[in-house]
Amino acid sequence: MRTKSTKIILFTIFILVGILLSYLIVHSSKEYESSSIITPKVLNDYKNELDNLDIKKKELNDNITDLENKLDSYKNEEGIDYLALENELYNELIRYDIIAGKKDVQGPGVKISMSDSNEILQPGDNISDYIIHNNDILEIINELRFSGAEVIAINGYQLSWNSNIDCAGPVIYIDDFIAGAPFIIEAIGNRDKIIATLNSDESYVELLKFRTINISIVEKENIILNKN
Amino acid sequence: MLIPLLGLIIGVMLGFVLPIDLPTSYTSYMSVALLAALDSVFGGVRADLEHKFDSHIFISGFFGNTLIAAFLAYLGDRLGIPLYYAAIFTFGTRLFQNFAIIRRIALNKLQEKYKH
Repeated sequence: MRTKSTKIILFTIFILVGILLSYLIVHSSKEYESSSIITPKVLNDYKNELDNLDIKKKELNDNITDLENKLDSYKNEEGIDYLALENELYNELIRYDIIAGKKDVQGPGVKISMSDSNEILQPGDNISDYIIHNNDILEIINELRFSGAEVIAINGYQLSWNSNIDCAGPVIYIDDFIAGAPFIIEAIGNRDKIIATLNSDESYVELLKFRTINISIVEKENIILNKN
Repeated sequence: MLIPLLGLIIGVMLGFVLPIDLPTSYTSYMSVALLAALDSVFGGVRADLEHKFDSHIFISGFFGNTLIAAFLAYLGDRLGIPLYYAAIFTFGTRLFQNFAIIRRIALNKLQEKYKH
């Protein structure tokens, strides 16, 4: 602190220290709840979160665009076209009714008949392998859905989107409907696709055949399924 | 002693007023750099009390320590090793040591003053 230039330098250095100090005070109290040091890991986590949120935002924006387009389609030159809207809503209602199993439907499809094995049990055999269980039905239903079946019925009972399949001893429960062997599963949909899936080497039907369960798959021109 | 104090006050005010906005990722380097700067300041005060103050050493130490500390923190982040602990540890320890010496010198001066 002898000369004038030293004083000036000291002065500027202390201004720098003050700026640093106040900067940290301002930023640590405003933006972060804790005064922990931000490491690249924390930063990376936040970055990933941000990316995920960005993707979500994009999806939601697409959703908005879709819905807006739908809304636009209801409009014509003179405001809202109520007839088109009514038609659209009616079609939608029918579609939901079909999904919920509340409509009589008919169409081309596939009929699967299943019954327990006719094999005579040998000592050491497990009887469980030779009878049809609720989860066997479930696997086949999933396979049908996967291959594009639109409406599925078991013994004439239409499945809806939230049907459950339960074991009830010798029979199975589908919601409140009781189904017993032989099980007849009817599926309306693209026949070629369904048949191809069911007959593929990895299909569950092949496994059931290995367990000597009687199973037959028939293509049908027209299947009529009544509402529940 | 008045000029540095005045500078500090002006600096703090400037820091609060100026809209400085650095990326969030640099905050950790800033904190380490601040610690280095404070260490240099205390070192300077101590040297002044011992009548050994050299402005060149002080200035080079101030900027050198700050830069090295920030660089260490950055390098540690890149390597995945928390190297900024080294800076915090060194500068923290030195800060207390310098303060202890400053205290002793100040107390000695006070004692001499009241003896007479």
